Amino acid sequence: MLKKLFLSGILAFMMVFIHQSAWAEGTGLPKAPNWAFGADIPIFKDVGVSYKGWNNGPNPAVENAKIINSWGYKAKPVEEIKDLLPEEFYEIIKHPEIWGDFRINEIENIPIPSTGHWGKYREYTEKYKGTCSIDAKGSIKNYIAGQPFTKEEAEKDVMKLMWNWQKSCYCDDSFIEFVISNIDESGFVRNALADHIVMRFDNRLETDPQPLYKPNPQGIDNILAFPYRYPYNIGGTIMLTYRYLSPDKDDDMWMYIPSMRRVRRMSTAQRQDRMPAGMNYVYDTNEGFQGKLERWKWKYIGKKVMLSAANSTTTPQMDVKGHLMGVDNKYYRTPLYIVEGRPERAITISKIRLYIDPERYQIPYAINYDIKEKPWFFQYYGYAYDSKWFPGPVNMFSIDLQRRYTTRAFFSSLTFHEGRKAEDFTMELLKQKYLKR
Amino acid sequence: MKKKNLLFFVVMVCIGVALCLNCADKARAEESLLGENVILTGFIENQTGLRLQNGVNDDYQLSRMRNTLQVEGAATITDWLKFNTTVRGYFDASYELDHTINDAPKHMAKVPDGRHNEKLYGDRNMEQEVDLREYYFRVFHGNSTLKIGRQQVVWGEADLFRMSDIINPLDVSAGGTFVQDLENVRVPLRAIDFVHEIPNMHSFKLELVAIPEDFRPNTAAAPGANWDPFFATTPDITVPMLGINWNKYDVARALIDAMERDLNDFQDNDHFQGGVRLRARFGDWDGSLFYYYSRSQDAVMTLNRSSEAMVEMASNPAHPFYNPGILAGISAAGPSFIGQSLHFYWPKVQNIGMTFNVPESLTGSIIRFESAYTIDQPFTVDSPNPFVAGMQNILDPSGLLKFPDTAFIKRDVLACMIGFDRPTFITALNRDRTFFISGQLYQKFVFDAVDGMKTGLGREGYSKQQTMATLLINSEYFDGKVTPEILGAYDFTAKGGLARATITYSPTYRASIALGGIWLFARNDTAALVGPFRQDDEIFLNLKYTF
Repeated sequence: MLKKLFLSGILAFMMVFIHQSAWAEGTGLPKAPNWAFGADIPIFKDVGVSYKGWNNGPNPAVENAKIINSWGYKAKPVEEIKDLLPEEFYEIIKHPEIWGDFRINEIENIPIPSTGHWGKYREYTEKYKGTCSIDAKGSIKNYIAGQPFTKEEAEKDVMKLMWNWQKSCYCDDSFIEFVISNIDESGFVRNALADHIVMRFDNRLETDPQPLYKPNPQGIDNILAFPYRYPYNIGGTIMLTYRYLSPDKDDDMWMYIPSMRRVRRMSTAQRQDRMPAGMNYVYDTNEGFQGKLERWKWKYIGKKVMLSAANSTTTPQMDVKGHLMGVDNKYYRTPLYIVEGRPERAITISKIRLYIDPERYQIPYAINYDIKEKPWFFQYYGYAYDSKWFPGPVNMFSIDLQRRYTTRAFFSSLTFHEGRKAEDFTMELLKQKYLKR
Repeated sequence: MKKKNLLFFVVMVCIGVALCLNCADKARAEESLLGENVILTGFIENQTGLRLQNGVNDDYQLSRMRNTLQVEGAATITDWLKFNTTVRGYFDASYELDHTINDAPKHMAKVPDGRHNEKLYGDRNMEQEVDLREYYFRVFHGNSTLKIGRQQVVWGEADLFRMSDIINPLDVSAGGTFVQDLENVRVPLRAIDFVHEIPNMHSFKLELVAIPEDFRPNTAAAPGANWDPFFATTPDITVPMLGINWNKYDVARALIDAMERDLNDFQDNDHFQGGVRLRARFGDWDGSLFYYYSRSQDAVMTLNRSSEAMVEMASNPAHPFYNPGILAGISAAGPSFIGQSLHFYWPKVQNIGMTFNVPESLTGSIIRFESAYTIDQPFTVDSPNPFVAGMQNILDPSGLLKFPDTAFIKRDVLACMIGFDRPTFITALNRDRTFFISGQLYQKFVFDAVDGMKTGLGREGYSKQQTMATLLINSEYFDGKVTPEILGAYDFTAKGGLARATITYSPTYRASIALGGIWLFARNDTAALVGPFRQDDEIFLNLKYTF
């Protein structure tokens, strides 16, 4: 009896062990040997943080969604979904020997709830319907909150579509503890840790004052603080950026530089500059697009049914030996807007191609083309939602398609709506928290 | 015994490194015995420099092989109280490795070595030093921060030029800002720094700094060491007729002994320093006004009236007490005669100034401006006494030896800098990263300058104005792994300058290898900025690992 109990115990332990370690969560398919999810991602330890996840917990609807199809690692061949993905993305996942194992899991489209955060967004959309316009420069006028233009208007006027994306249902303020990990063709990895703290001044849905933050005498669109915490060389460097509503006004950026022991005003004039320390993003095309819409020329290419990662898994998923994030992610089939943008003056980037989810107005995929119009960066943004349907980027990577070099970015903790005020974004307060020396 | 000491030092450094790496790693992993509120970081670094010219040492001799361990600790005690500290120890192995270089300065302290260069941590000399460089508490209350302890307080907009960045003195014994980061060259002081920021659209900021008791002057390398500023500007004094044969090191040592004697008196006297800075933002303009009351960090010197009288008695046959035998007494006294004849002072000065920076949209640059008006800047004046001048000529016909007058004078000084920072694409040289180009134009005027006033400006050090320009360019290649940088500075008044080129390879975010060279050029040894160091060109290799 004792022997049987002992054997049953061992068996149960083995089953639990196998379930935890060798099978991907929820897919029923085996996990690739180099995949690590959530707290198991070893880079968290390297950079000195522990994985905490979403402060409101993950979205159970997505977590428990039934997988109806899988392609890639130990699943159906990816050739079956060639037409459902951007060509560059397909070429990447077709070559696991180069980029690492990857699997695409299809789920049904989970409808966005009409209550809570999204309910408020829809309420403001209705309330301010027809009040916005676009001027000759392409700037939005009289915008307060909600989706500025209807779907029909957006599909007729690409600038309206882009403003719908710009003013999508995001968060009033967010705090993301970010891990940035660069991997080169020999598999050599460089990791950094930073906090990404942002506050928006319009389209505020949860925290007071709303829907506009007042007073706003400087005409600020958003404030971003980006203090690096690791490694030593850049740790304690604090970037503070003000983005203004005026299309003619450049961003203001101040940077506390520990080796200088003082705050330096930085020029933000060169928006096509690649971000420092080897990151595969340029300032204007980070997170799909981070520039000023008015300074780019936009072209609507069309709409195509694709697999979208705009409502994907809520947990960071990494191939620790490969280049990719979101390696066992969830996608749903939906028509995506395809839009191309060209900068007023091309220096490093001739154009970008954005794939925009028409319902959520997220950009799951973006492609940057170099000055010779050759594909340069393929950017992947696995957006997910927490239990309150607040959106956040979970699994991101940007691959230099002209060589094997990738920047991965993922969060270790994500907190929304802490009620931040403009006065929280002073360099002195940031130094109180992040000063190293 | 020395070998034993060396071995002990090496073992202690190894143990220290191992412990720090271990603790730092654990602290980062938030599993440390120290707790997650204590973070240890820092670096180990080897800086090896090779001389390219004959000067204080010969060409192709090591100018330094400085091995540094720096540990930085940060402890969060409560939400409103934090503690930071930086401990740095170095060992310069060049004396042990290269027996052909002058090792006389090896066990000498940096100069001047005042009372506040405390010897709490064992030997502190040109070869080795362990220093608890910074230790300060930070207390927060809302938008106010109070920092108490030994620290660096940095003001200003300018790079390299010090107009408002004058709170901490400099230790230039290892090449100063020619080859080191300014952060590592500043000497931290025991200070109280209070900052309050009013978070509105003007971001008003008030900063009060008080240094109640910690006065330290700028320090330099000991005589005979690399980067010794006295080597080129101090003569050998040989007068066979009087039996005088003093070498320049003895003369310099005598000067320094006198300086240290007087410095200790100053450090015991009233030496409160402090100031206030107001910052605000108006539209695109960030500006500040400051006032700082301090002691001059460079000494001025005077000649004893009794020494002047003695020289006159020895040289002037018309003097009622003419006695040429005094010359024999001077000869017998040796170089200490010079030291005994001089007095050094670090008088108080007042600095008033302003800074601003503003983005300039047409060029996409940030324009930086800094200006300071110094009230009562002290200057040494050459002795106008013809008998003292006669004595100088006897002792040093080359003219390098100059006895000061019996009093120093004070003059007001205005300095200002205008500069720009511009990220610039030069796509033919770098496809995806800009070049950071930063230029500065600097101007300094001494008001009401008189003949013989040692301003330290110009070719001979007597000019009443200075015009300088600097240019810094850097960029990133290979995903930020390779960072080339060039720096040029030219003093139009002194007709001298420097060029520094560095290429840094950082295979990881933690490790870096920097290879570079610095070339210093001037027509005279006395020329401002680089004159005394114009024979100190070097190439260097810096290996650094951070943790």
